[in-house]
Amino acid sequence: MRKKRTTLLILYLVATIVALVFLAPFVWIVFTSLKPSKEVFSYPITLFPRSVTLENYEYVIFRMSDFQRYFWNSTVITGVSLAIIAISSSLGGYALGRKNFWGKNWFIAFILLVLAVPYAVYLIPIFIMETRLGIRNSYLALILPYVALNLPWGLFIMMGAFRGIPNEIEDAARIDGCSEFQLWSKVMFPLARPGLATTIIITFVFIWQEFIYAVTLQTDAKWKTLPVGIVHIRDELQSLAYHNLSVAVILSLLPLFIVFIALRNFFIKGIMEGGLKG
Amino acid sequence: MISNKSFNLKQSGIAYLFLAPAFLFIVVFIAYPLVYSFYLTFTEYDFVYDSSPRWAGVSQYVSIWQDKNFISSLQNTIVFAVLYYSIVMVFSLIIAFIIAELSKGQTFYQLAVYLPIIVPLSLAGVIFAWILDPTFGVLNHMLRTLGFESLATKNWLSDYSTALPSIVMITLWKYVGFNVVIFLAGIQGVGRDILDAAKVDGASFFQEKILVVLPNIKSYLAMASLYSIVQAIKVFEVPYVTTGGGPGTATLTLYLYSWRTAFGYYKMGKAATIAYITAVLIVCFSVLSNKFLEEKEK
Repeated sequence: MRKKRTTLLILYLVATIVALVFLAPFVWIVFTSLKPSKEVFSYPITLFPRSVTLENYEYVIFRMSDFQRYFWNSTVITGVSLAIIAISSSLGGYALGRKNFWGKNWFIAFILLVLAVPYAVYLIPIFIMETRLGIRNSYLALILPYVALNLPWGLFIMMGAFRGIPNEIEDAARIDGCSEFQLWSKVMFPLARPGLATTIIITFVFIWQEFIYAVTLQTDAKWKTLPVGIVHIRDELQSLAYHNLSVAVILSLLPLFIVFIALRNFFIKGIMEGGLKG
Repeated sequence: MISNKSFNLKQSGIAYLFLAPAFLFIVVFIAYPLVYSFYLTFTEYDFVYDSSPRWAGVSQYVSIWQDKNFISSLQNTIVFAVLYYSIVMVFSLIIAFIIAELSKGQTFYQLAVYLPIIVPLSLAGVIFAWILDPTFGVLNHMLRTLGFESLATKNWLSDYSTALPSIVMITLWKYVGFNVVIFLAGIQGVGRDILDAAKVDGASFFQEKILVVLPNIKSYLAMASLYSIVQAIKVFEVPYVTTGGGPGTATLTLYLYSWRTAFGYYKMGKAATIAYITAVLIVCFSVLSNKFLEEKEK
């Protein structure tokens, strides 16, 4: 018994050290965000903020127009993409999960193949295409590829969600005189909502974090999203103003953090079903 | 082929209608680019000067091996992948084993390890570039405080020997939690009776884990292995943000080089070739990982 308690103690010790190591970078940017700029670049550096100030937050939130712009861009692009993905994967997943039609298996096989291809492969043709169409540096420039890149996985999840609904429910609805569209909108879609929740959360995380498409297709600073915009702030606008940068980083993580804490189980489900692979 | 006749015309029509929006997006932005970039690998295409791609046969696939930058980016990617893959698998597995044993506070430890998953790789790069800063970075400060003076002056990201390992470390911070999620799901699914039997037989902590639990979570190992391979070979954001591929070509990876070839030098044919080679590399390693973990199951 004694031996077991020592083992447990060691395990807790190791776990705590590991947890602290993983949390340390977060703690460090929170500390940096609370320091006045003078203290951030004092040498030797201070671990804990000697004087705590909220002026960096006040500056970034209310007066740093570049950051505001990037946050807005990320919000619009993520929001519109999510809406399109939600609708088209709910419709398409229904067709794949509950209907029989010519070419269905080929389409599903293609989707699975696409999931295995790293998405940077599509970037060069999409860049060429968007340049010719003149839609680079616009909201559309990212919304279109983001929808397409996330649809294979969304379709796959929604196909499973619709397939899981018992046939009796469909039969009963038909006897009650539902039209085809009503069958989807009133009966099937409400039952597939848990699948949709997983799709939306994982897609949200993907799009809010996306970098390589955003850095390539939005070369004009006006259209940058947060992951690219913050790097742009660091390199071009206020080089290495880490007190403000830390605030910007914290604020851009905030939506992800809220989703993560509130909907952790969907998050984990998403990982287990293969969504966070990109 | 009876099934061909059994397609109900009306139901098929409805299905096509429902599928149409998704189908359109996938054809235009995935299927077409997939084919077009494969075509580009057989061309020379300077996006600034050429009005359209010029057919070049397989010359891209031949000349790429003469390119020193390509060779070093291939080497760097493989070194990165081997380092990253082996550490992330072992380390995540150990953490998952430990967390599974804790009776109290499991949620806290899980959250702590999972939290970096929400950080975009580019911002992880921004955060760590600040932490690893030679003068104002907190890492060197801590090393100095702990008495490791010789290490404390290191410029981690611009030193030839530490730049690539630093990028491995940043990527690990982001993705370890991801694998712990998978391993924990597997470990918690192992039946109590199996573990109790092992205990009765007097298995030690490590014996129990390696001999009893591991063989029972094969499918989870395979899944984590697959993810880790993809994560390792498509390394791009962290070197882009922290080192820009430097010093010299010490952290130039395949994707970084492909990206720069396409959008810095506008050599689309060559860039597509590098991207395709990278994709083939990922697929090969994925198949290998599946084969290996499946065979062991028998």
